[in-house]
Amino acid sequence: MKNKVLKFFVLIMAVVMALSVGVMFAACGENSPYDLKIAVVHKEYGQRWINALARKFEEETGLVVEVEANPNLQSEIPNRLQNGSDDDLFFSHGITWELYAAQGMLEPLDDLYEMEVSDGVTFGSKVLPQFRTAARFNDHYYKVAWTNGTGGLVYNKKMFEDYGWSVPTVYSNPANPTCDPNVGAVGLLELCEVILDDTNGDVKPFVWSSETYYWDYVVFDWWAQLAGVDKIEAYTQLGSPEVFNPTTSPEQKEALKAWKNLIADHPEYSMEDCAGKQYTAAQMEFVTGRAAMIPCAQWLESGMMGNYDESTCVMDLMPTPFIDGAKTDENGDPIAVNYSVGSTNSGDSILIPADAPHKDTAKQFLVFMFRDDNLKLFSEETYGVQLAADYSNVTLDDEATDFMKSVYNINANSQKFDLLSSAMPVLEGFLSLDWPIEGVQHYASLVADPNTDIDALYQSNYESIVSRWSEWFE
Amino acid sequence: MSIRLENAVTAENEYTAEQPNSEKPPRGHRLNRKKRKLIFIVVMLALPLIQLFIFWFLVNVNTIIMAFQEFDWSSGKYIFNGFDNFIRVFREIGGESAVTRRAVINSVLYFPVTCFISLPLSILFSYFLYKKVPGSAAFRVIFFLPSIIPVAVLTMTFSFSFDATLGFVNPILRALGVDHIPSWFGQYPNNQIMIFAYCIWAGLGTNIVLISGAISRIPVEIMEYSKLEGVSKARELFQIAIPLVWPTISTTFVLGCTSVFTVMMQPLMLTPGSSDTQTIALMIYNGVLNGRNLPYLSAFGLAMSVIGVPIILVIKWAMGKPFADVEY
Amino acid sequence: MNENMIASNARPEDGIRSAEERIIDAEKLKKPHRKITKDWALWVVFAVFFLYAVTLVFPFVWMLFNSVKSNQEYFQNIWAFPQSFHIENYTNVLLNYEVHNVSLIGMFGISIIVTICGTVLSLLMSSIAAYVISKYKFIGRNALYALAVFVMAVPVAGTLPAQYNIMQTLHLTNSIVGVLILYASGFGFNFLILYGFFKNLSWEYAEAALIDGCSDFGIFFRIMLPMAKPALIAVGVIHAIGLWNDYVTPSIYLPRLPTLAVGVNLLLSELRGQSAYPEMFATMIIALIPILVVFICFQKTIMENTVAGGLKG
Repeated sequence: MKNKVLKFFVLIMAVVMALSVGVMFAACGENSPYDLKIAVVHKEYGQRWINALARKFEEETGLVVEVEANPNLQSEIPNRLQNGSDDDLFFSHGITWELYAAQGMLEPLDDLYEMEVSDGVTFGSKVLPQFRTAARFNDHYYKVAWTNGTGGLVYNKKMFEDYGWSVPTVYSNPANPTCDPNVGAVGLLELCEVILDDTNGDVKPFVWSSETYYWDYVVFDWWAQLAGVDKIEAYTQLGSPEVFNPTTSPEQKEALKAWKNLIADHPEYSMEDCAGKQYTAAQMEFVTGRAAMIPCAQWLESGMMGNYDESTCVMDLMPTPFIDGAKTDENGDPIAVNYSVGSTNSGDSILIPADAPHKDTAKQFLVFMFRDDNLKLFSEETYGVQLAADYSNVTLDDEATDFMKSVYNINANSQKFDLLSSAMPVLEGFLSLDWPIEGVQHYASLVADPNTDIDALYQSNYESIVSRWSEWFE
Repeated sequence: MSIRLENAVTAENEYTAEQPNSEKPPRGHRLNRKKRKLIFIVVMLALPLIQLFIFWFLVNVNTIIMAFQEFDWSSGKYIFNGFDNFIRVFREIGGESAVTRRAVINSVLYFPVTCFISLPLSILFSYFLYKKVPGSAAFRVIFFLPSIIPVAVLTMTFSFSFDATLGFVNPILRALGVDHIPSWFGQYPNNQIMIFAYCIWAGLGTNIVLISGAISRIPVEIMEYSKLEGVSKARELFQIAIPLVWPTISTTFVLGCTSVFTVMMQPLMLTPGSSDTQTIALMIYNGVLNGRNLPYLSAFGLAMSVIGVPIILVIKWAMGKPFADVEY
Repeated sequence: MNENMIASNARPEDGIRSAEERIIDAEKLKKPHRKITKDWALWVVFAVFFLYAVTLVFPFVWMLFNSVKSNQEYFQNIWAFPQSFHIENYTNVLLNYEVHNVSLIGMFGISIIVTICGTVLSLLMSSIAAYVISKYKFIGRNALYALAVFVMAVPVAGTLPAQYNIMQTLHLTNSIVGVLILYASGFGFNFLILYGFFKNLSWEYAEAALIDGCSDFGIFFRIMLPMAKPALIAVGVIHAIGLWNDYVTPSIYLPRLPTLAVGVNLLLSELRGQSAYPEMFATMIIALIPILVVFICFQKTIMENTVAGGLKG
């Protein structure tokens, strides 16, 4: 018996040895045969865009580009930065790049921002201002913001047209209960009643899911409508705990109350038990026409492509209706704002490692990517997503879908804002700017208990922040 | 083969230097014996210990050190900060952070769910499979299916089934006359209870395989004896089968305790984006993914383990007391 | 020869009778109602098992018939039977999918090698450690057991950089040997189970051999390991399934030789981005069938009594 076990063991070891020798020889042959290596987090946008850009870059420059689309990249980046790798560019979500910048693991990009993209136009000027400031740390540029996300209420355009509903432009207009655009502005609140009436309750106005952060894309727009984007920018600077004072800065609280008034106080406006629904299930209900609207963002159409029939759903994104008290411009018109989806705390980032083998080529690629024709290429290959760049010289083709056009228009016509911050409490994880303190959303708990005292909630949060402020900044 | 079912005086199933009931070999030979035993132990344990040292200890020592550090943003280095991280851990659990506190409570609750519901069910099921309930062969494979099917699919079907509009559970309940159906996943504590239910439903398979493997070692004669003597099932289960496979049961019990620190996939997949069904491991996983404040996370994990492991060891010692001498 | 020291009501004058003889006698003595009671209990349990089994088979069947739907059909109604059968959901993956120029068959082969070798190594290490620590008294044995529990109970995350660093130093970052060494752990789940098992195993088997002059090594390899076969197979199957599905380690340390799990993970993430659930299900089933087959083959060995006795003869 011992002989048998031992023989087997030896055999296994021999096989393993032979294999590993073979592998080592195979691996030896590879000697970085490419001129640029790009690693991309493989998520909602797929990899068509990066492959398209890479091939075009290869055509123009004659260089060889290697693309790695890796779903686990976000968790591997710390390792690759620390221990070295052959990557020249990282495209990632949610990574605390400031930590790596502080440790000298990222290549400073000051020169990149000065490089020319086209005649007289620098890379830095192509990057939207809000994303330029957010890319600085310790007086240097260390990253490029990746996307300028767009979110809000996605609605079923076909259903709206079939039933003759108008897209609401305000939160509520009690003077227009039938939602007749000739009478006045159409209110979202009133539209819900109209939807229920016209469909006998068969179609619900809203469907959403237990991943309630999708509502942020609507609620934060209301917040910015009330506060103005400048106040939110000041908020992200975290100059003092007073930015959380609900007496002087009640706007987020009011926005949440508006949501509560729409959703939590009107369970009949949402499909049953949305707080317990899977996100996939919510998508299904929307594209099969069981709900008229779903809070979502720019990836919905590309994610749902091919999964539904245009006879049931044509999707479009509406600019977030204006809440009562929205700031107005000099003409008295409310100012359109839009939250850059994904820009919370550290946001998404394009990074170049400090010991990347081909740094100059990497910068060359980024300059290439921010050229107008490639900004357009990116949008086309992602069904509407935009890079964090100035798209004013880019026009979409007519074949673009309604959804893509709306994403483009909202980005072009709104003041964009974000919740990016490099302040200490955020970097250290003590504070989350979207829902201070811990990033806990209140949507599900408000649905469970609509009698929750929102004022008290905000007040106690504020007091808690004040008491811990000095400790966070020591 | 001998089976001692009464409490014997000593556990003789360990090798000791003395060998009762046999002649003492000559003096020189005994010294050799001791030496040979030592060589055996050292040689055998060498490889596993080296592997553990290099690929577990050295890998984790960095995490342990980091628990006593904080990141200094001005110098870009990690510096020693004593027990500050640990103090923060306990302050947060003490109530400063509702999320952390809830995560620890949830994790601890997995202990009774795993050890006092899942495990006894597994034992019962294994026993009856052994007793050749009709269809046992098919059942054995089916009960193990959850361990083979990807957890993403299992959680998806589970969630879909309970969906208020897409699922079939609610319509069935309504047809049975249940009026007020709760929101299964929409709020705490319902969502946590549903996660526990899922864990029990999907978690029996592995334990059944292990306990069945242990039961299969019980000599046939013993079961024949109970058949002969007309021993009732309950008696056979509790007084014969369980004592005989007790070490396996107590091991799976101890493993159930360790699950408190490692459970993560089920809440992640069943309640994504929820902050009130988190567990210790999930908090650490999310934190590492964001890369925010790794030293604090290291301290958190370490603190939980340092408190939890002695408790587990005490449990293991206590579990080792009954039926300590049964061997065959 | 050993006697059957069973504490029982067997009368001394019965002497040594065969099991069969005793059963026949007992049958005669058996009261009729006992048989009905026994059957009744088993059938109740059968009903419970059946219900539970239905709920377990259900996700598998659901996945199966959704895997041949078109995406639209799936989104239309997740519970309906497929109207059309899109076998291309399977053939696309089986015939066309490749990662780094390695076909599905190639990935399958790599997975088999990694899984079998990894399982064998882990079982070897774990059984060695478990046997020695459970059966031999020496200083530190309890500390080692406590260490094993600690290894299991530490919620480990964020250790990749440190691990990669060590592997880099040892030049093991791009070979199967590296992955196997990582898998050859002796102090995890397998250790704890095998420890419990060996603890339960009578030392008398060894005593006889020791007296005959067998070395400790011989006892382990020739007596104890064979005795441990059911436990080894049970633990081995569970461990092998874990290794088969593991994609993190191979994706980092075997970047050019993707295992099936790595390839499947990449494909699933691609499909998830398009919400192409039917194709995702088809992919999962393809990855799952080998495990199911292996388990069906081994479950008899694990769960049925294969050891009928001990030291007789």
